[in-house]
Amino acid sequence: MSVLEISLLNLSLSLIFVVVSLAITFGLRLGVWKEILLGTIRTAVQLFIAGFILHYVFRWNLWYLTILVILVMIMVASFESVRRQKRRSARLLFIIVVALMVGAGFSLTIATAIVIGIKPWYNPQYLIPIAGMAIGNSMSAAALVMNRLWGELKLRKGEVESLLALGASPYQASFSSIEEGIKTAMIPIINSMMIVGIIQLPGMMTGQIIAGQDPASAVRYQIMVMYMILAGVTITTTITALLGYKLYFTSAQQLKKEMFT
Amino acid sequence: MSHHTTIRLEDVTLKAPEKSSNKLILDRVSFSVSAGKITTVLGPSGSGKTLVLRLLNRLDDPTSGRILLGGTDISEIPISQLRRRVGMVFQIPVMFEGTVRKNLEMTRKICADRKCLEIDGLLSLVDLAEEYLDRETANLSVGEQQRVQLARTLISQPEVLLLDEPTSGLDVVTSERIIELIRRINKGTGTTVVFVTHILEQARALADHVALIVEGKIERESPAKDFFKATPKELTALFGGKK
Repeated sequence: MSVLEISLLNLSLSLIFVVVSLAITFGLRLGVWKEILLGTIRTAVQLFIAGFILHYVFRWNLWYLTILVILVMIMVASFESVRRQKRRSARLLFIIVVALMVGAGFSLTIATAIVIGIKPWYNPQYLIPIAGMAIGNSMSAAALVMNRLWGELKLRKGEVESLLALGASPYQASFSSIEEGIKTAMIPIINSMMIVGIIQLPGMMTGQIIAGQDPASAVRYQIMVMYMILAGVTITTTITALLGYKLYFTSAQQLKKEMFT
Repeated sequence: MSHHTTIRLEDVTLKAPEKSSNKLILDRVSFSVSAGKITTVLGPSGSGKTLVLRLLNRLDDPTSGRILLGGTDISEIPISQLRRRVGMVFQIPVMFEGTVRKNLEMTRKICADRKCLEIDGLLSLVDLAEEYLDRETANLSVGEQQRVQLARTLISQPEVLLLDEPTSGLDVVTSERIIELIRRINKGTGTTVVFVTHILEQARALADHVALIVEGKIERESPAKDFFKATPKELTALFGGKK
C-alpha cells in the first residue's frame, strides 16, 4: 500500500480551514487574526524547513548530524518553555535544558536502544520522530510545572513565610507548591493515557497507519511512546521543580518578593 | 533558655523595594531590647514597625546598618538557627492545611534537630484545651488561630518572641486574654518579647521598654515608666511625629 501524495495545489486548499477560523473569530471580534495568520505562516515555513533538513539528515545517515538535530530540538524546546513564563531568567533556561536533557534523554535512550533496538543506534528515521515526541511533551510539562510553582508560591506567600520564620528551609517551605506543580504538569499525559485509542488516535499511530502499517503493529509503538512520554514528563518536571523553586529564594533563605509582584 | 539575650539595632536603614525609588522606609533606626523584658515597638500604621520584626527574623535584610543578637551580627548566625532562636508571630495567623495537630507536627519536624518541645502539653501553654489538637484549623476563630500560631512558635523554645500586632482583628476580651498570655509567657520563661502595636493602651499594659517609631524613624526610646509620664496630649503629638 502506498501513501497518497498531496500536491502543492491540493495542499493550498487546506487554507480553507484557516479562512473558516478567521471568519469565525472576526465575527466574534476576538482580535486574534494576527496570531492566526502568524501561526499559519509559521506552521508552513517551519514544517517545510524541517522536511527539507530531515530529508538530508535521513539520506546522509550520520550519527553526529542526528545528535545535532536532537540538541537543537532540546534548545528550542527550552527557550519555548521559558518564553511561557512570567518570570524568565538565564538560570531558568539552564535548569530546563538540564531537565530536558536528562528526562527526554533517558526515556529516548531506553525506548530506542532497548525497547525497539534500532540499528544503528542513531538511525535518524526512528530516533528523530521519537525524540520529537519525548521532547515536545517534556517541554510542555516543564512550562506547566514552573507556571504552577510560581502561582502556588505567590498564592501561599503567607504560609511560605510562616514556615521560613519557624526555621524551615526554602525546600520545606515550598514543598506543597512543588508537589502541586509536579502533579499539575503530569495531568495532561495521565489524561491522555486514560483516553488513548478510545477518543483519539495519537499522531505517531495515525502516521504509521496512513503509511500502510498494520494497526496491530502500530499500537505497540504507540503504547511504548505513551510510557516513554510518561517517564520523560515525570523526570523533567521533577528536576525542573526541584531546581526551579530555588530561583524564588535568596541565599539567606528569604522569599524574593519582587518575583511575585 | 538564655536570659542574657539582648538585641541591638544600629543605624538600620531599609530602602523601599522599588528600584527607582530612593525613599527610606526605615531611616537609621537604633534601639535596644533588654533580655527577659517586654519591649514595645509602638507607632501608627505604616510607620515601619512590622518591617523591624521582619528584619529581626531575617525575612528581609536591611540596606545598611546591623542588628546584633547577644553581641553577634545576625547575618553571621546560621539562618535556620537564628529563626528558631528569634520566633515570629505574624499579625494575620496563617494556618497550614489540616488539624491543629498537623500544624504542630509540621513545626516539630522542622525543629527536629534541636531540643524542641513535644506536642503533648503544648496547647496548655497558650490556654487551649488538648481537645483542640484534632480540630481543623479552618474552623477556628482568629483568636484561636493566633494561639495555635503562638504554640507553633513556642515549639523551638525561642529566646526572643517577636509579636506583630497579635490582637489585631480580635474583640476586647480576647485581646486582653492574649495580652495576659504574653505577659505570662514572658514572666514564666523569661523569654524576651518584642511586641509591635499601634495601640497606646496595649503598650502601657505590657511594656517594660518603649521604642516609638514614626515614618520610619525612632521618635523616642525610653523605659515604659518614663515614656508614659507624658500627658495624653504630648503622646498624641508624638504619635503624629512632632517632638
